[in-house]
Amino acid sequence: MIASIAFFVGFTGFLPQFLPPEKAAGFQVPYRIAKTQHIIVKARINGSAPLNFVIDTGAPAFFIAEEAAKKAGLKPDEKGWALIDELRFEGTLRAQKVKARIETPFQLKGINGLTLAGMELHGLIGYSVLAKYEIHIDAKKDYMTWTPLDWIPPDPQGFGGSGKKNSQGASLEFLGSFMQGLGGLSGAKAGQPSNIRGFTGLVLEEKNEKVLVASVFLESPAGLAGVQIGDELIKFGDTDLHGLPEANLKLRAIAAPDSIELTIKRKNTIHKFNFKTVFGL
Amino acid sequence: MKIILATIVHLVGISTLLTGAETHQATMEVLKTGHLRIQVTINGNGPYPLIFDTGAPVNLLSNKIGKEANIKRKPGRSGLTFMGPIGEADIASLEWGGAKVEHVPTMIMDHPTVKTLADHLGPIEGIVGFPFFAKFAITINYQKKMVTLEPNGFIPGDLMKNSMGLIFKKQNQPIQPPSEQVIGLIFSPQIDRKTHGLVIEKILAGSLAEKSGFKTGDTLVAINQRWVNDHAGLFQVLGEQWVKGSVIVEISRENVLQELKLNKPVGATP
Repeated sequence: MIASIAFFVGFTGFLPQFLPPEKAAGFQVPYRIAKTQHIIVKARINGSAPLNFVIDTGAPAFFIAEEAAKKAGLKPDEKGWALIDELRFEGTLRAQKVKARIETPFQLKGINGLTLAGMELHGLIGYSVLAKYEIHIDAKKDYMTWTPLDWIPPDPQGFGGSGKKNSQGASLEFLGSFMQGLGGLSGAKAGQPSNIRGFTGLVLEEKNEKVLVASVFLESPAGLAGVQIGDELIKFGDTDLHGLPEANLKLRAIAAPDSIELTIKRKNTIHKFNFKTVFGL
Repeated sequence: MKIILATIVHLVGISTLLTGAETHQATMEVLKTGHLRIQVTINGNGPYPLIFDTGAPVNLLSNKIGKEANIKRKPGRSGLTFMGPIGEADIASLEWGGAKVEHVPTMIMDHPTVKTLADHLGPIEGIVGFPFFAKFAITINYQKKMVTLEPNGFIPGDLMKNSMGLIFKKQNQPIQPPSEQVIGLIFSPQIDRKTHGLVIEKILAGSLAEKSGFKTGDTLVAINQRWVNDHAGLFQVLGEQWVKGSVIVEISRENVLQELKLNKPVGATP
């Protein structure tokens, strides 16, 4: 990702200092490939909740989106920079005194606006951090290997530009905002809580063309409501059930937490059970 | 202009050191902004100065190179935007430092950011990103100004082809756990403020979770060193890591970190 470099000025001093390597082989840094084909690592800033960053040789510095920086308690100086005491990557790599640019790259606005990546992206890790390591990336593995290098990379230079408005093209800034707007229209929003399958504690099976409760834990939502092993499942809410695949589809479609009504046949008597699903597995 | 280009090509060189049967060492130029400029041969033409960008999900080439290197545009896949003409194309062959790939998708457009970079840093005609480099295990070394590339058999998806699918794909089913078997862990809807992990509200008696040593009040922090900081993340990480067999779950119990082994349940559905 080519990040905003035109107003990239004032990167002076505070070179990141890194801990010596644990092993000569380097650190394993877990990563994922986002749906947008970005390489994403998770890192915590001064103990913050994990944030998602793009590994980006096209960015001159470490960029953190303004909102994420605020949540992590980072306050930029008047030039837009902040110093992170500890940057802790997923895995074992930790870096101390890392300088970051607090600014939301326009590309992230677009990607997050449309929830394209399948996760919210909080920033870009670029040259000023990457150059400190030899970095091995293999899309067939779920971790990279970062080996600290014994050198101090030169500070990246900006090429001028004044103040906070960049000269690289208002059109790109516009594009980012435009895509963000599009996301708003489609009802998708970045960073909202995910829709998680609700836990009931039920496992179903099919016998003699009947959908039966194969197992149910006593203390699970279904168990506490009174559902028992061997009960025949007849209705899910208002829907009559025909076969196990349909019943399992219905089970998968309930979120957590949500209300559920099961109609059950037990020894020729019909019972109705109402309960709430929970977060669990 | 041509003279400048030629000079730069000579300065940077396209020195290819073959270290193994299929391991290539390619040189790169670290620009003052920290960007990486590489020299790439396209359809036997060039080399052309491009930016090597791990953050670019697509390749991008200027209209000039599109013409010069005879890149075939995909019929019906081009148009005019507020940024100028734009088109999708297929590069028959793309080579950097001896590492060669055939049929690489690219965008053809004069991107304003690329132009700004070129105005300040000298010739830059586009960006090489994921559709090329993901086909190799790569090792980037800024100090040596080298990238080692070794074919890894990975087949990157075509983002341009899939992008509309990404936007309009409906999510009509909640995120599913990696197994339909009951593990026996019930979580609080809240995330622990200190560890950012998931608070275990209840362990079901007689369950796999109980047998594995989990206790009510534990906070689940990580699985095989992958952080778990929301419920969707738990399903995702567990699904990814169970592929390798049993997993090591890091929990926080009374503020002390501990590890528990959790087997994949029999009959688990991926």
